[in-house]
Amino acid sequence: MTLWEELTALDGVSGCEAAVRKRIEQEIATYCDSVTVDSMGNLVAFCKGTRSDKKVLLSAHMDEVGFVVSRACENGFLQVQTVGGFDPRLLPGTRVRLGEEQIPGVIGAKAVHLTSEEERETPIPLSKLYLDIGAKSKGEAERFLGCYATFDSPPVRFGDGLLKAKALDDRVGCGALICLLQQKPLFPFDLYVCFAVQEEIGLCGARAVAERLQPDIGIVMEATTCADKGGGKPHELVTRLGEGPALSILDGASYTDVALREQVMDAAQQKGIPFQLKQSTSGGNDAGAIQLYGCARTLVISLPCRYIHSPVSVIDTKDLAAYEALLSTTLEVIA
Amino acid sequence: MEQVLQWICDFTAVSGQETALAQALAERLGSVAEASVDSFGNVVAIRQGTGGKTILLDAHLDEIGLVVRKIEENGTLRILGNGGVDPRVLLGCEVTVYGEKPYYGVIGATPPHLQTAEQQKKALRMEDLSVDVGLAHPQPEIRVGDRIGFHGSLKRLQNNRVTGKSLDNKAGLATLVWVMEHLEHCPHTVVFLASCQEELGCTGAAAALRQREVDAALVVDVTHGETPGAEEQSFSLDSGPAIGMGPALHPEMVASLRRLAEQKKIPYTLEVMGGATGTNTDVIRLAQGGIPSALLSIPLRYMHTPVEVVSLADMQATADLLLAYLEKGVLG
Repeated sequence: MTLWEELTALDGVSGCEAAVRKRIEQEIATYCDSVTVDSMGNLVAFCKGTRSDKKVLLSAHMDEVGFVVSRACENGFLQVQTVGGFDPRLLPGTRVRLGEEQIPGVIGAKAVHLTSEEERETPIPLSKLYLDIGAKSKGEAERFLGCYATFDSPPVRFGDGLLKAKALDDRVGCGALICLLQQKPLFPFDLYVCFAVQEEIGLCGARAVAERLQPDIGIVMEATTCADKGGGKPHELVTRLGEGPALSILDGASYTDVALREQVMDAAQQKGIPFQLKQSTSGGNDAGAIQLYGCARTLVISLPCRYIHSPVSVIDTKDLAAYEALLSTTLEVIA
Repeated sequence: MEQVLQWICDFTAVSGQETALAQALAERLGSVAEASVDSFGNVVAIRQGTGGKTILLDAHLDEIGLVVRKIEENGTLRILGNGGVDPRVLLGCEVTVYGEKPYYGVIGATPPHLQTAEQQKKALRMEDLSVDVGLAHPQPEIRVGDRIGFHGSLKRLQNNRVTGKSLDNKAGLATLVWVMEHLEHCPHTVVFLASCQEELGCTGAAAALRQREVDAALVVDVTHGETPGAEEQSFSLDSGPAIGMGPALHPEMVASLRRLAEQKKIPYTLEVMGGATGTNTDVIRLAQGGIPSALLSIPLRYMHTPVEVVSLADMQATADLLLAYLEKGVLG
C-alpha cells in the first residue's frame, strides 16, 4: 500500500485522531526542528526559516467523518450519532468498525418485503437506524457507549488510475504535507505544518492553532466535492477528476487572498502544473478558522474527490503529483 | 458449517447468471452424490438410497443484484434491480459489473448540492443512482443487460453471528451442502437441488421438477430476523429454524419435524403463513400432482441488503433437524 492508502486505512473520527497522529509523527519526526502536540491533539511541526521574516502555516486535518455510539438498546442493538456532516441516505446497508479493536458491525435496514410503498419514498431517519455488532443484550452492548465507529472501507484501486477509500478527505492533505516535510524544506520564513483535529465538526483544531500562532499566511490542503458524474450541467460539477488540484476563490468560511492566488496561478501556468478553479462557493474548511482567528491571508488547494464524505470516496491518483507541486509552487511564490 | 458458508460466499450468483457457482457446487458434491447442472442451470445431486422414498432438498442458489439499463457517454452506468432491491440501501455500495470481464464499481447518486431541498428529503430512487467504474468513456466489454453483483464478503460479528451479502440464500444453501456431506444413515434417495432464479419467480425449481419425480420435499430458505421496528413479523436469531405452518405446508411433515426437534432438543420456532410462503415451496408443492412439502427458514436480518446477518447456530440447528428427519423422520 502507498502512504496515501495507509493513511486512509487508519481510523480517526473527529475527537479520536490518535492513531492517525501517531502514524504521522513517525513519518515526520526526523525532518523538522520540533514537533508539538497541543491539548486538543493538534500536531504541529516547526521548521525554522533562514530569516524568520514571516510565519506561514500549512494545514490539513487528520479527522474523518464517522459515528459515535450514543445508545445501547434491548437485544444488543446500538444507536449512533453522526460525527461530521454526510448524506444520511448513505447509511442503510453500510459496514462499519467500532473502537480501537475495530469490531465489525453493520447498519442494516428493514427488509424491503416488510416496507410499504409510502415508507420507501422517505429516507430512513437516523433515529430508526441501528448498528448491529451481533450483541445479544443491552448489557453486552453498553460497554460500547461513547465508542467511535468509522466506515469499513479498505482502499481499492480501480478504473483508470482511480482510488476508492474512506477518509480521502483529508488524508490526502495529510499525505501532501508529510511528503513536503520529508523533502526537508528550507525557506526564509518560519514554517509551521499543522495536522489538525476536529475540522469536520466546526474547524475546531485549526482555530486553536491559528489563534495562538497568528500566522501571516495560511495554506490549507484539502479534498473537495467533485460532482462530474452526477449528471449536472458543466458549471454544477464543482471540480473535475483528472484536471489537477482546485484553487478556491471563496467559500462559506473564507475568502482566498486574491493577490496570492493570482501569483500562484501565474507560476503554475508557467511551470505547466495543471489546476482548476473550484466552481462553487459553498462549504467551508480550516482556512475559515485560520483567516478569522489567525488573522491571516489564506489560500486553499483542494484535491477533487467524488462521493466525498462517504465510504466510497474516489480520487484520481494522477492528480496527486500536481497537488503536491502546486503546494511547493505556492511556497516558492511566498518566499 | 462456517467453512462451507465461506466457500459458497466467495461466489457471486446473480439471478440469471449463476453458472460459476452451479458448476463449482456440482463438482464439490460429486464426491458424495451423482451431481450435474441441468439445462436450466439448476444443480441436481442424487444420493441413491437402499429403499424408502425419494426426498427433495431444495435451496435456491441465486441472489439479488442489479442490471445495467443504460450506458451514458461519460461511462456512467444506469441500473435496474435484478430481483427485489430497495434503492434506499444502494448509495455508497461497492459492486462488480459482470461484463466480458469483471469491473469494480461504486454506486453514487446526484450529489446533495445539485438537488433541491425537497428532493433531499426524499429517498433516492433507482433513477437517481448510477454505477461508476472509474472510466471516462463506455467500454465495449460492458453492455446493457450485464448483471451487477454486490460486494460484502463474509465477516464474523459477536456471538457466532455473521454478516455478508447474499446470505439470502447462501445460508440455506450452505446448510444443505453440509447436510449432504454429513448424511450417513439414510435409507431414502435424496435429491439435492440448488435451484436458480428463485428471486425472479421460482422458475428454476419449477423446471427441475418436470425432470424428476419425488415423494416429498424440504425447502430451506430464510425468513425475517428480528430487528427494531419489525418485531412482529420476525424471528429472534439463535432460536433455531422457523418451521413453516399453514395450508402450503404438509401437516404430517410439520408434525414429524416438530417431534424430532423436541426429541433431539433442537431449538425451533413456528412461522405460520395463511397462504403462499414466498419461497420455492409454493411452486414445488403444486408440481407433479402435488408434492408434500415442508419449509425450514433461517432467521436473517436486513434481507436483500449487502449487510444481511444470520447466526451460525441457527444454520447448524437447521442442518441437525434435517439430518434427523432424513435419518428417522420420513413417514410412510
